[in-house]
Amino acid sequence: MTTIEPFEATDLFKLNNVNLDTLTENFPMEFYLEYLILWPDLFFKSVEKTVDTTNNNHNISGYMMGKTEGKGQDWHTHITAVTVCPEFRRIALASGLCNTLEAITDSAPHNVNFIDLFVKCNNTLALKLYEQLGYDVFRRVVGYYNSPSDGYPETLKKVDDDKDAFDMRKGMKRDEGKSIRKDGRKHKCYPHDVKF
Amino acid sequence: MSVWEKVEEQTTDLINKSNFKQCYQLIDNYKSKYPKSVFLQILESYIKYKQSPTKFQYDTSLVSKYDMNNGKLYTIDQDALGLLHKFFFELEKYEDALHVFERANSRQPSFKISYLWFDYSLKDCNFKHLGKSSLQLSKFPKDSVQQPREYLFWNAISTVALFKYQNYRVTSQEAKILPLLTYKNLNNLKPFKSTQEIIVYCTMCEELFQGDTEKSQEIVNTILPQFDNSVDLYMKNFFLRNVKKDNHDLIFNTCSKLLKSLDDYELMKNIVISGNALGKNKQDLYDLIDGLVGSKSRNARLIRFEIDLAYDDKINQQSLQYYLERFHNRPCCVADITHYRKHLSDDVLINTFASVDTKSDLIHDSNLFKLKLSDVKPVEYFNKHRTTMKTKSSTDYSLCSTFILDLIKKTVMGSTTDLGDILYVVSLLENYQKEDSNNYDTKVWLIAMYMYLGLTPMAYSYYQDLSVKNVQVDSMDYLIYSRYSSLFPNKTHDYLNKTLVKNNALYDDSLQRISQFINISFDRKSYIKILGMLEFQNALLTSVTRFGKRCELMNMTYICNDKRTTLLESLKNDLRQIESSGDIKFTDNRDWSIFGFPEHLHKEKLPESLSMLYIDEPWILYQLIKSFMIEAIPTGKESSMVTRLRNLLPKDAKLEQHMTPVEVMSYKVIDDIYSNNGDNISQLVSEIDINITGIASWRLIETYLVSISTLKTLDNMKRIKDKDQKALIKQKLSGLRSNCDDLFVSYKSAIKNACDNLQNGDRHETLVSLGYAPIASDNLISTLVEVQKSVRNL
Ligand SMILES: CC(C)(COP(=O)(O)OP(=O)(O)OC[C@H]1O[C@@H](n2cnc3c(N)ncnc32)[C@H](O)[C@@H]1OP(=O)(O)O)[C@@H](O)C(=O)NCCC(=O)NCCS
Repeated sequence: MTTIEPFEATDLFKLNNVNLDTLTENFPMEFYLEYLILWPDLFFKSVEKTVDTTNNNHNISGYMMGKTEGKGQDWHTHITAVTVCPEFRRIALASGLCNTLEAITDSAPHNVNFIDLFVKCNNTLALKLYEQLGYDVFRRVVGYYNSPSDGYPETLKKVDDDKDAFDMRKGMKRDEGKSIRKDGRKHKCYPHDVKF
Repeated sequence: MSVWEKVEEQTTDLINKSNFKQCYQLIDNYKSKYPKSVFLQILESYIKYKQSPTKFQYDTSLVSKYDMNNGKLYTIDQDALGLLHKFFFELEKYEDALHVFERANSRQPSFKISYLWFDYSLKDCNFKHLGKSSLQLSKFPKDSVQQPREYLFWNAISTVALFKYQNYRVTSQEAKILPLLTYKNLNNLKPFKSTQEIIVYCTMCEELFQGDTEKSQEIVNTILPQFDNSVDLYMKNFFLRNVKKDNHDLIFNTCSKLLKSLDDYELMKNIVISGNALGKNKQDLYDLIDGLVGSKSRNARLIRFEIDLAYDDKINQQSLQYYLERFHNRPCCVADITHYRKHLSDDVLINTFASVDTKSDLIHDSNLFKLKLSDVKPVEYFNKHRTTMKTKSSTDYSLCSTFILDLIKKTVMGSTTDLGDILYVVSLLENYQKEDSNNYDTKVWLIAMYMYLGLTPMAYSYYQDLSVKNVQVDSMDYLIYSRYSSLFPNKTHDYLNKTLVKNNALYDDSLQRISQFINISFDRKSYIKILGMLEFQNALLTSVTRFGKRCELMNMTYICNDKRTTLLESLKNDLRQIESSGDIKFTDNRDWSIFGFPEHLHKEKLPESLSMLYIDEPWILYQLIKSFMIEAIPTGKESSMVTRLRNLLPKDAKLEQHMTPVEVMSYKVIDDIYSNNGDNISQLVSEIDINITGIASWRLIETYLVSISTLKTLDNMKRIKDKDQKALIKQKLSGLRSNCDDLFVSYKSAIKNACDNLQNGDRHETLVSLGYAPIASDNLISTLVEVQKSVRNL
């Protein structure tokens, strides 16, 4: 039984079951607070009502951190982090968190044109998740996940599934299909092209 | 930096070096240039105080002329105000520290002073002053950065914070007036301009008018129109909390509308209750909910349990079947079924589980096992599914851990545990870890077991795999940093040298920045998370982990004979920070749930296997009291900090309940010198046991190190003058040191024996049946040697 609740700063103490996951980023406190302040309604959690909390504080099963940015046609929602703890995976919670973000930002006061996110090209699992939710690849961001030792990409010709990200998008109705392209995987860009 | 800020910085440096002569010269220099400066006068008084705090006569001092009761003076010089605040704060007169701004503002009101007052109130977490100053801010429309209306929202949040978190500050008169005033102020600002404003208004109505049905109705009326074109989670909650419980039409319709965009269990539950009251039949509800969220939704399937309970007072087998069809092999099944367990018989469960599945995959079996619906032994299950660990992706977790954790629970969750038990568990975990290396459910146990053995370097190396950082530090670090000074006080090891320092940045840097973030929230009109951030700040400020580590840092200075003046000063400052916002109270953010077994594991009564982690609030108080007693002993005077901290101990607190035997001994010795002039010191010291035998765990190292540290502290005390006593202390100290290697020799041989014992017997068989090798003693012993090396020269 899941209910979706606003995320509060104090929840940061109760995320170990979610954040100890190797693929989940554990951000500095300041980063979380920045999201809470700038996009207070786009940071929320899923809470498990069947977990008995008398002696167990692991009732947060996952959370969504999102933001809105861009101007004019580029006005959109960005999914910064979505993650679900192992105990509550494969029951469509991540999908539910994405859908909630869509419901919130596809309505007033946000009314965005599209939602986007970055996913590592080799993260087939997450790719499948987003495709099922109606996201399509808009472009490939070469070297998005480059480490400092890799340096900034010099060319768009060299691709690497472990270093590149897909910029995936889902257009809202008001966008009238402007943010969608069928051949998105063929379009390549540099990391600086995806700054808004 | 202003001139005065610079002067203050220079004098602080000189004070820290106890160079008072130069301090006064500096002041005299400036005084000749600025003879009338209030700032300089106050600074001079402050220096006098710092030079000899015990001789400082408050009543005749300059600073007393600014206090709230007897003082008449005021200043609007911002630097002087800042200095007065610092001065009063150090004198532990927290109300006076903020009152200087209040008085300045009442004599010569200005936006600048009000803002300074607000800023300091926020830093001090004094929500009463925060409320008063924010109200003042609204009175300077020409000078202020924001519109006056914004400050009234600031004021509303501050008032809510005051009532919610610092109710003890509210007088009975204020309890009557402040809610009405805040309500009136916000009402005058209607119509609200943003979601943020609406939420502040509703929060104010909820918090300041609890149980007031009219206000609840107002909240609902304010919220309802919002649902026409937006989806907001705060609004959802305000609606659910405040709507009249018998307004079934409204509840049913609104929740149905919201459910279209949010697959939310609370909404469904309300639909069920109201649907029932409105005479809908079960099928209507099934159809409605499935139609809105889809029949695949877990909520939609589980809600049938609630529908059954509402209509038939029992859960029907069909509903159970409907749920299990999709979720019998999802890990969530255990929490869900457990929640409804009292309505479901074992027979029905077993049969339904069997009817929905014939494959019995790992998750299905693990669910049956956890729900105690199967007689199959953990080893058997493990072996049935172990091949899945080879095929799973490396970043995934295997539920084979269920069966290993069960063996662990049976072995080390009791009140007695011996070395053999621990090494058996280590054998299980080390082997399991190889096949499921990212699994943190098992890794935390492995870390804890190495800590139990006193093999900190091994625990540390596994702890690094978890890459605990940032806020997580506060809930996780207790795992390896509880009692670190008496387990592995190796200052050159990464454990203390690198990770501890890095992790403490949470308190040293991030924590100090939270009030800036809160300030930014106010400025950016981002109101709704402020209350949560205030609570978060308080929880970090008063965190058990933070203070546990602080105490350990103090203990390190006793063990290593290090200087401790600066450390004590900063400790006092930390305590003052807490005291200024109320009583000294600690908040336990440690995550005990990470060990699993919530029905068996209680932090007040940890099993022996986790005994090294047993640190509670009185433990922290005792450690702090001990430190301040040691500080006060050379002066021969009472320490007000000691007295205050002692008053905070639970009335019936017993030393033995909160500390290990050797910690009790250490406390008693210091207490005797502080409170009793050392009358019993010979007796107490002669009782210190230097032949620590028969202990084979962390307790051996801890007993040795706390004894050493206590004796070294005594040895350095000039207060102990008696020759015989001094000789006794020295004799104990050298006796203990010369026994050090022997103690470790006996511990090593105990480990060797226990490892050898795992080579046969029942446990050996279990390990073999799992395909696991018993742990070898070599690594353990070489790590013990590493610990021994860091201990023997102290
Ligand atoms: C990725 C993650 C968020 C998925 O969460 P989730 O709640 O289990 O996802 P959902 O149940 O909503 O899955 C939706 C779809 O994604 C795909 N999917 C998700 N997890 C999968 C897995 N382990 N194996 C195969 N497919 C998977 C499936 O197609 C699934 O649909 P289905 O269950 O109907 O087959 C979760 O595994 C996670 O938190 N991982 C770590 C953090 C992370 O990688 N975040 C994403 C970064 S872009």
